[in-house]
Amino acid sequence: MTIRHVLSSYRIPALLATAAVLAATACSSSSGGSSQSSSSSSGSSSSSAGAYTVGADTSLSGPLAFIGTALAAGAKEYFDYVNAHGGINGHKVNFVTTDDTGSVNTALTNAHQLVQQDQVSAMTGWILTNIESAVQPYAERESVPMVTQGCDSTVATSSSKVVFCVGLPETLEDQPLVDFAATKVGGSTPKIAVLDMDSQAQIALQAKIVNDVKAKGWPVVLKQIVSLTATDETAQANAVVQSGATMVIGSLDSEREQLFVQALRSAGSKIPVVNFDAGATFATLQKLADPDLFVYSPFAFPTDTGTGVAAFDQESQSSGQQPGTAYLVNGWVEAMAVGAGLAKCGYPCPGSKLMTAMSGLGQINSQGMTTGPFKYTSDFYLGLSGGKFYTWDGSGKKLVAVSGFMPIDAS
Amino acid sequence: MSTTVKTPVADPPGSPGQRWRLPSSAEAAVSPVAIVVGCLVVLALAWFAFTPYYLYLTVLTAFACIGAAALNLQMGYTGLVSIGNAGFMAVGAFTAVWADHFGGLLAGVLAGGVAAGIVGLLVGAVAMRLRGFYLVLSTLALQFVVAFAGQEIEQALNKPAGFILPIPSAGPWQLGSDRSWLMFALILLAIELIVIHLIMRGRLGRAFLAIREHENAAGVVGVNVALHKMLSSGISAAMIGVGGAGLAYYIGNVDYSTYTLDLAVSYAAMVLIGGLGSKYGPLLGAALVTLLPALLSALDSGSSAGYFTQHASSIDLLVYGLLIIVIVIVEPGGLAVLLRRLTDPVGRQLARIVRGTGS
Amino acid sequence: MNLLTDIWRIVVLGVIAGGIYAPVSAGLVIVYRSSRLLNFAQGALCFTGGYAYYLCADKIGMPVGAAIPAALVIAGALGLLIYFLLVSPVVGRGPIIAIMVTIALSSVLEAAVFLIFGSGQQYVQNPFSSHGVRLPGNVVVTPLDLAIVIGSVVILTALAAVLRFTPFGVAVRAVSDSPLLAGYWGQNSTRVIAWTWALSSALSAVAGMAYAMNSVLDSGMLTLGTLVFPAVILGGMDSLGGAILGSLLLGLAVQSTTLYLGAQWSDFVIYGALMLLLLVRPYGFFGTREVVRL
Repeated sequence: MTIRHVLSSYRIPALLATAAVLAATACSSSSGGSSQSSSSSSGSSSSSAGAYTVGADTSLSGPLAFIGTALAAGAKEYFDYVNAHGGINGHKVNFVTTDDTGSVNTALTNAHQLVQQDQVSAMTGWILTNIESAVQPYAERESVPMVTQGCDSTVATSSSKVVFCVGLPETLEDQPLVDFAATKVGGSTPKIAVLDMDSQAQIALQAKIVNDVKAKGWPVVLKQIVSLTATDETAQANAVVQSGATMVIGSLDSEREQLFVQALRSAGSKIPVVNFDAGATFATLQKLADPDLFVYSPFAFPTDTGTGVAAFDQESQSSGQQPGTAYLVNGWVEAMAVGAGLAKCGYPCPGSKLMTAMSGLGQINSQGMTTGPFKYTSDFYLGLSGGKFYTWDGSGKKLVAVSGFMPIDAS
Repeated sequence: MSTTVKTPVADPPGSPGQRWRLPSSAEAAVSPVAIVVGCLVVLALAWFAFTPYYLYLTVLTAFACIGAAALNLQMGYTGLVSIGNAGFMAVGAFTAVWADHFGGLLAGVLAGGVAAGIVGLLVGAVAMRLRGFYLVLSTLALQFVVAFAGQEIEQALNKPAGFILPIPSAGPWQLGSDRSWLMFALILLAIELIVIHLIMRGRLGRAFLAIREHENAAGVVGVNVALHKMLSSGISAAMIGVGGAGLAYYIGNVDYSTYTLDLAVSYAAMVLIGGLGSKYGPLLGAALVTLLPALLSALDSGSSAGYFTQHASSIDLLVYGLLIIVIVIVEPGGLAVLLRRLTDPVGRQLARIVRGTGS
Repeated sequence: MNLLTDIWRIVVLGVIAGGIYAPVSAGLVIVYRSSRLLNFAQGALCFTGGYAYYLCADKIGMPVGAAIPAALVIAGALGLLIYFLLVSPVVGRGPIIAIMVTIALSSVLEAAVFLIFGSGQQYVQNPFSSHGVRLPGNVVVTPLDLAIVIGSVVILTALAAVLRFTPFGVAVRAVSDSPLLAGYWGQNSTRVIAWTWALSSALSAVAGMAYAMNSVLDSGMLTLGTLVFPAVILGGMDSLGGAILGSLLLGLAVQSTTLYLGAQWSDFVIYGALMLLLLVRPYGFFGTREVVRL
């Protein structure tokens, strides 16, 4: 082979290699892990004294965008509030958001970016359990805690020390729902209709609810599984009426809850409906204004009292958000958990230090944002352990608690 | 060195003539020497010069190259349109989950390839008589069928978040760090490219090219068109399955929702943007499409939060779509031809210098 | 007794669903006839059509009676734009190019809409009351549902009449059968083909508006385009009547699978049926057999 042959055959790989070497040396010398792609959310002042960085990897687009944008907005509000009041340990918090578009690969890439490029102390905003499962091993390897409201049992009961929950695992909510139903029963034996949505966790939840109801000696006259994307619940409402049920116990999200309750009341039925925490969205409950709808909520509502609630309401309004928006309060409390951890951790606080700090937090003062205890210990990563039942108070135009704190069975 | 033959136009009347440069089949695929050199260069760069984040992106790119090169075999060299590649990746990944119990990483990847190859042969058999849009639709149907099967499997086995694949150890080798993953991916890629080279150099490759150029004429001159279509689909699917299984091990999680039509389209885009039927095209295209989101977000660094991060996925989608359209309209040969245009003058200059100093 | 109510339910809901699928299929067929390509961006055109209506009715605040035609005009203009910028450069370059270009178009349209309007879902003005009539068998039919079905029938009948009786329609049929001969007869085929794209986009806009009024304006609509492919294949890619029939059958099929097997089965069943159809009768029942020229 002549040199000419060699040259003309390999010019492309050779040129690519040269270009790549140049690019690589340029990039690796300039980046060195600086947070060049981080976006400061505190707006006005520059981070002079060094700042904490917290990231969110969530669905900002796609069908779950309404959840992700609210989680990100809620967290951002909290950090804005904190930054405006002296920061944490005197340092501001930079909040970086990334969009996982609902895809596992994108979420994982974002996690790499947040951890390696932005050097975040923690990652929040998670929604889908398959994404959480995929990112968890990576977060463990890098020792960066994940703070999430998506706490189905597999995530919550894993022995991973990296996932901190700010939410109730769905499959553990059966007992409080049925126990509360018992307080609404009155004299006669109720006939129960059980409605749940079409997800693995909720199908399991339904089975547990049915068992608990039967254990009380009550008959289950109807069981229904509702599609996660259903846009009409009249069929279900009719089925409930036809079954002669005197109470509905269920796990419907806010959209389905609204459709179902409206359809049920249009069909002329006034029976009480006891629903789980995903139905505890202020905006929906306000629209329904239904005194016979009871929702289980671990979080406070914008109409509650408490310094935290006042701050939340004010901060939401000044950033153009309705405080009653679904998932906004979840985002705020997630950020609160991270904030508490950072406060304990000191500065700087890399992920590994934050993990240790958070698991040693004990009780967190949620300033009234949660309806029950909020804590993390080395054995307890669920954060929340239950909630109260609320219903709409027509005269006060707000939600009132109609039960004491009712815990889930977290053992 | 190479003979450039302008084949007669085989398009419907009224269309601008397509000028295919029919390569001698030996030249159609990347030569083994270039493969090995390229892989070593990339490995060396990644090992010493890249930050962990770039290393991660390189691993992703390597896996993408595996899928793109395989798809190029079917779409580029044989002329069979397919957007079923996500389905083949899914078959590979799900099979790997099952086969992992028997022999770990190698068994998983091998079994994934075999299973995907079998499905590919079946699809090829079904689609034998179909052309053009009908062929695409059959691959689209595959996508939905496989997605559904995956969903049902997960429901039946009670895995709402999909299956977890453990961190593999191939023999004494623990695949924990991104560097070892890159080595693994590059080895798979090198093997695949060498296989493609050997195929294209032989009778199989010539048959594929003949089918691409003029299917009916190929049949007339004695090529068993049906068989070769099946083989092209099967071999391509097998390699895509291997890539899918490997990537699944890297990500660690197998869930049916990963293998979407969008994923399939992105691989087709890689092949198209890089240059359909070209040597380096699929590799270039794979690199561009995989790195595009990272590139775009790097361009945005420095500007404050808000518009870009809020709309990052839409901007990615927009740029990606526009890229495909622009490449198709402006330079159908793709990045490979663009690159050739850039390097040709330099190469000629170098050759002139060398010739001048005596060879 | 139960089977009868089931059948009744399937028929009623299937016809209503068919009322949304039919304009989309018609749009696909028209574009196939004029440009000989399978438009993967049809669903995206429904999406943009729905957003055009949202823009007029909700953002600008036009009364619904003006917003609907305005949205159709916008959709038509978009169709023209697409033809001139995207389709005419790639005519005749084979199926791979055509498919990838329309897929890329779909991405571009989707991204552009999200960038302009934000990525959440939107509720649009629904001029028809959603208070339904409960028919026997627990089937609820709203005035909107009726409007969709009647509207589709009217629009598609008008379309068929246009194709058969008007000079434009004759031109479309001539161009689709043989552009060369049509040219000899003095047809400006470019103009005719451009108008078919405008028409197709407007038809998709109708479906998009109907979908948005019926539930919500979101990206779920994008799958409408790929969902009706089996309907179009069944009827034959160049047969309008076949496409309409196919849409009806598709509506019935989707409702039956949802009722008996569950919603997650519908994609699988429909596309499995498509696979079988491609094996047995790829040209559909009413399409013209393609003669492959050697």
